[in-house]
Amino acid sequence: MDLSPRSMVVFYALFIATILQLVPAYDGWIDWKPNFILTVVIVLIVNKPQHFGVTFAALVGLFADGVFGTTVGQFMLIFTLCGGIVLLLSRWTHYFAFFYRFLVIFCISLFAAFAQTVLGNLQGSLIALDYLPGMALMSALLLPLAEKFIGVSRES
Amino acid sequence: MYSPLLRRILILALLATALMIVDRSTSWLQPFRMGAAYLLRPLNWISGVPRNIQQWSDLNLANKDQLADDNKRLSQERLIYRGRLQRMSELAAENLRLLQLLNASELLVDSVLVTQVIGVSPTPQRHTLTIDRGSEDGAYVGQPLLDSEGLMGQLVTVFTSHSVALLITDSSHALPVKVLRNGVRSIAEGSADFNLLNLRFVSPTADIKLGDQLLSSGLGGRFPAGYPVGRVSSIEQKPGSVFMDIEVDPSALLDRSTHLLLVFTSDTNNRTRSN
Repeated sequence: MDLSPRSMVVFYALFIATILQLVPAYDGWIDWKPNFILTVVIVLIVNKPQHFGVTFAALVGLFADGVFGTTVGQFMLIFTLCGGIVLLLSRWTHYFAFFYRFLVIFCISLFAAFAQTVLGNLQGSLIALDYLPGMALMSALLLPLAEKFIGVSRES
Repeated sequence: MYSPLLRRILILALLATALMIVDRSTSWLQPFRMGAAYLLRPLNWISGVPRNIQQWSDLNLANKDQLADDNKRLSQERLIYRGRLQRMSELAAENLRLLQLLNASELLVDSVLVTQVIGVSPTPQRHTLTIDRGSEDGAYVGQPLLDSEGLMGQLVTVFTSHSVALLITDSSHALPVKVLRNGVRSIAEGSADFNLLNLRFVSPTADIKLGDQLLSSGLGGRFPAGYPVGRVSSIEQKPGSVFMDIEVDPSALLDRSTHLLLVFTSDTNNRTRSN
């Protein structure tokens, strides 16, 4: 299989996001830990909606289920919905300035964490909601770094 | 009527939901989980590198004065624990004599296996740990896990060379406990907070006080009796509520311990021997 340099960058971005996701966070820091994998996926879809679609989001979600150890399909569903929302709005989000892209990532991360909590609660785990804003904010703060790394930054 | 994108989202969402239902109700997707676990093993190792570097630097870059202080403190602690152990030996012998007088069954003695944490749950919603012992070391699903301070949790998935443990603070976990002072029984439930357990359905007349030490009661047969679980940190009776809200501070250092003990209870040993 001949992988283009861009594909390799995406692979490395997801690899690093997975490693960062697995790095342990102690004490109260775990509540501030962003969803690195989702952020990378959303950044890719926001900036390159013609290359990265909802199937890509679903496949990465399935991979995230393996990483997070959740019920198979849980993150696939969340990533599908998040990727789908971003794609449906892509005709606008693609032209957004940095601040509005930041807001998109924040809102999508908030929605993803909320959906994750709801699905967790439906499966019998009683999960509090107080960590959601912090986690979404940290995910959104990753935006410039993720865009720089993936090479899709439009701020120059 | 629907655009192709909406149709694709719907199909993938339905597929994901179907996978969730299948995974929750059958074990057909177990090979996927096993594959993911093996794939993640090296990634877990890489993600643990910063922690290993910190441990290595703590061990090797400490100055001489610090090492001397540690040595002195550890010698003193060793002396104190040896003293307590002598007292424990006497109590154990006395307990055995009393059990013999009561014609009770043999005294239960648990053996342990040291294990190391190689990964933790990447999300705050699930309190799980990955440890470096698996079925080849005799680990089994439901096996209790301890640290130096108390009960940590139990194994929920066992692979050949590593296992995943669910901590007692996970919101889906519950554990039968008793008060050391008087033997009052209750259930300690996880709260999704590493520093908090809740006692459920405790009557206002129950004799539980602030600071009471809780031990595993052994009921249910999953956890052996007598291991420290936590200490009562708050008792509240809300107006109109039938039960008390009791909070417990876990004994184990659930978000800090890196070296743990897998407990092989006497029941397990007997089972293994008979097999």
